[in-house]
Amino acid sequence: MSVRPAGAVRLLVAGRPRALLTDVGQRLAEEYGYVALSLPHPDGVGATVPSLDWPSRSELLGLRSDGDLTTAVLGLDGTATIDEGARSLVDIGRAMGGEGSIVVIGVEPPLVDDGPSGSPATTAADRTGLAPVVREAANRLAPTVRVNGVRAAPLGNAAGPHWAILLRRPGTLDDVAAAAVFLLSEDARFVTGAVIPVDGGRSLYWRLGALGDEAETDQA
Amino acid sequence: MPEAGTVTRGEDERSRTPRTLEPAPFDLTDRTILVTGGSRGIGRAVAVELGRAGASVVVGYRRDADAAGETVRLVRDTGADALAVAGDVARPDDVDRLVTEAHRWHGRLGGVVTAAGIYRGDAIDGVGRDEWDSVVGTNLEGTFRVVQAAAPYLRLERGAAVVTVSSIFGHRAGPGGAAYQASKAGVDHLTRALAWELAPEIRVNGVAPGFIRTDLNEATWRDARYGPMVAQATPLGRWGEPDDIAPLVRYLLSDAAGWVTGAMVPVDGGQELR
Repeated sequence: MSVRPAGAVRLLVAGRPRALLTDVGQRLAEEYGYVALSLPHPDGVGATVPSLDWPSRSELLGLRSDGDLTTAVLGLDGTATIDEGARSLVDIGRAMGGEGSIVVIGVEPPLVDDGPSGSPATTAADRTGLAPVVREAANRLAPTVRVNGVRAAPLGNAAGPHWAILLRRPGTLDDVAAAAVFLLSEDARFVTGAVIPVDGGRSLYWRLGALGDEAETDQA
Repeated sequence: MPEAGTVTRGEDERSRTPRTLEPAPFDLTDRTILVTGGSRGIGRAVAVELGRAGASVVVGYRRDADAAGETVRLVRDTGADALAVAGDVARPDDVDRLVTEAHRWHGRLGGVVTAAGIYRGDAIDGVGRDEWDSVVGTNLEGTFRVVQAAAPYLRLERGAAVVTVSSIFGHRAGPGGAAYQASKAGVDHLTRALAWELAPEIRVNGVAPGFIRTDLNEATWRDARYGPMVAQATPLGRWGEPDDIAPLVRYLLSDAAGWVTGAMVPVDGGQELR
């Protein structure tokens, strides 16, 4: 069903967490035909591997003059303020020099399993701070560049105890990559400032809500 | 620190570099999916998009058989099969028949899109019982009843999913149409409550369209003053079209969104941001 365009779409991958972003970048290249823009890697890794370092001002100017930068998958680790995060995104969006699409990935912290009688270490709150950064950048980069987010729970068994994952299975790289692909693509042409939670429903979880959950009551 | 960026590519390739990728390959082959409100507007665009994804589409409609027939024709043009079934989602008997017939067609039902919706924008003094009951009964209770009726069938299907249709007015308020706004806020929360209740077998997500040009709000977008004002106030600079909504619904129904439930995703050109 996939319709490949005549040329490949240039993709910048930068930020943290490095391992996840590397994997997502590779998946987008392999499955969906994106071509990772390669900045020289500080460790001297081959040119086809994205550096993942946030591009410097001069690098952004270089990308802009190339006119090739159209899509980016960026990771924010939650340590920047909303203003700092949004400013970084706006810098990259402006380097696109025209239409473009940015997806920001934020990864929630794991939940701690302290047993059904205890209280979990976190609740339904968004702890990535992703939404305000995405919304601010989307607002400032419109109408030329769209900015959206993917708020992911940790993949594999790191997400937390099974009772907090409503879909009762761990998340995979494919789950995150598919959301990013949708938001980057022309299919999402009227979507900006949105955040898709890719978390098995974990962000709905809260202790008192769970009291009505037969599946959990059975476990307890 | 890294030096200025270099890119490996051929010069001849450069002029062909597209800005973003075309359709994402989210496949729905072998899925039978019911789309309520399928005769017009967002429901019709969704039905056609699901056909493109390979689904068999049941086009639910209230009363305009000709319009529903046109949707069926458009879906068949994609190479998929389609069936029109009449039923008012605000009438419980109709809902049962609609869902039963949708299931009986291929003996299975793997997805539901609740796109049936009505809009009345009266100021508070003009909201009679009829307006309240029909708006809330269609948009909110109608959504619930359709999902309720479909759930037993959906549970039998691997990867079953529901997509509800809310509105930017379910998140943001404005004067006039309080019943409509409350009904859509209700759909938002209904989506989350059902996501929990129907997990892990059935995923439940929603889309929240912004100002989209459909029959439902034709007076608004045709208005010489108000129409251009909406486009100007939209970060992406235009009214939305039904075709802008459909691909998101397709993604949310597909296995590609297999770890997404309880999400309410805006498709509004950034209208919520300003």
